[in-house]
Amino acid sequence: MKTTRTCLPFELVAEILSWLPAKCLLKFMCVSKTWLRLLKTDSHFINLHLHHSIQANHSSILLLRKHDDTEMIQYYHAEAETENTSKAIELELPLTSSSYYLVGIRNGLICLTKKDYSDLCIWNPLTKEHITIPCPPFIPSHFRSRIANLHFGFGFIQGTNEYKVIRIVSSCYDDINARKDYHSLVSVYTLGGIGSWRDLDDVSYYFGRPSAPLVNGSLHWLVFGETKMDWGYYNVIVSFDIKDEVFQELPWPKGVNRFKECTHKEIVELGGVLWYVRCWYGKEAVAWVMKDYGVDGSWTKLYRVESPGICGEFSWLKPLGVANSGEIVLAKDGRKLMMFNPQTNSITKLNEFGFQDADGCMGFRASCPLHLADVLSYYD
Amino acid sequence: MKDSFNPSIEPPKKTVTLVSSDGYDFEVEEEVALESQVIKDGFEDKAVDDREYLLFNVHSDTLELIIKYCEKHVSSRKSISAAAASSSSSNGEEALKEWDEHFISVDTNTLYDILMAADYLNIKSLLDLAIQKVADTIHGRSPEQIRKKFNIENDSIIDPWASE
Repeated sequence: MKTTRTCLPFELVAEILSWLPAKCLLKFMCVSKTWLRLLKTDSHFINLHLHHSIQANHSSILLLRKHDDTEMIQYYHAEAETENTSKAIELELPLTSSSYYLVGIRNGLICLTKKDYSDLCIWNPLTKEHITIPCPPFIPSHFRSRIANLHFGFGFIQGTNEYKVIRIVSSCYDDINARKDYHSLVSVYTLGGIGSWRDLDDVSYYFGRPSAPLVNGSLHWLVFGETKMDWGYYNVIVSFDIKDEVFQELPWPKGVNRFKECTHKEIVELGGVLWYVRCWYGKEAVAWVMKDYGVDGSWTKLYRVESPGICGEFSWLKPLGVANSGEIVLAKDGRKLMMFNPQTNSITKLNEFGFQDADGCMGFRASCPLHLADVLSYYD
Repeated sequence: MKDSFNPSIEPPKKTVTLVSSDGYDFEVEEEVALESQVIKDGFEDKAVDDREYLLFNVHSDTLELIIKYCEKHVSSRKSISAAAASSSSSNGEEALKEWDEHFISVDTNTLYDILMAADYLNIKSLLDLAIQKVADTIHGRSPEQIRKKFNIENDSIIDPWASE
């Protein structure tokens, strides 16, 4: 006769647990000491779990920001699905200071920067852990121009589970012939690394926009590049390979004027691909996607929404996320959230999050490493 | 029925014998047995008359279920690709998913037996199915319920998440 099974081998239990959401596992840490060790310190398990949670999570999570009367910034997250929309949940900021900008989100880790750019904060809202990374001061006298622009990028290398923060200090100088001279300093900080910033070679681009989407192992920026023409701004999409730390220029969408000014333009990452979005003086918003990464001619127009048209007047529309249904979450003028169906060209208003006006929103995938400590102990 | 018109074309089915831990022989078609990566590895090197596998870790009750699963998947794959080749519409994948769901809806002990057998025989799709099923059953449970389920002694001194 068969004996009654009392327990599964531990390796199989670990395999099962690696498929559960991090939130669930946090609760299970007190099951036993063996489980605690597995969930908290077993790096093989933690990598497996991260891998599975990246694989399993397709729905977009929104991070919403809101100012209340006291000028405090609050962050909320909510799942972006038309049906079964969850109410936004307020996230408890790691520090009492209200003056933080959002740099980026990778695997549920949120990178924030102090408004004076003196410190960075990497925060895991799930476990409520955070670390602070001091930033080196930058010396404006390096530049001929007194105007300098500072941007960060937050990157992740899938193969090695390494996280890096990139800081870019950018300046633009008009020479006597009114020709633009662009100059940017680049430094890198590896989480869990030697604990200091490394300077890379300077680049001749001007980084004017904060958005730094991660696609195909590279961070991307929409920058101004140098051109032989002495007028206008020459738009370029550059990639920065997180692993090899080199910049490269990417193909530009065909038929799109590189010089043309517009109210709003930016590049974002949604569904694992790079999007280029531009809005034209309250008239229209157009989005292109780069279907095959790095391939010239693979930019495809995804939608064109007119203003006022289906969603009323707007000056810009920003795509935040793609729901499982293929619908796109759009933020109108950075505040009103809508669900847009490109197939039927229709709009559904999203106000079930508990507040209609979000001041600056961001979409991300809800996969999460279990512990910040594991990110940091990578090199141990 | 169709096959009876040209029986000469159909080659004789090759079979493999699987022996359960309690000593029962199961004769299965080669392609069904090859669903197991463990059997597949090195299968070609084995002499044709020596294609017998002693499965010390799989009881006959479980082996019967495993064979049923593999047979279903082999035949479904054939009909799905046949439907694709004739470009006729097919809900084969949907139907198979439904069949899987029904197949894995068993009591805990049987589920664990299937899980361990799928792990031992390295049948990836069945292992994933069983793991997902167990994961579903423990999702959202309390630590105390988990201890009971996996027969774990509570050796934790404090519950760091008790306040949540």
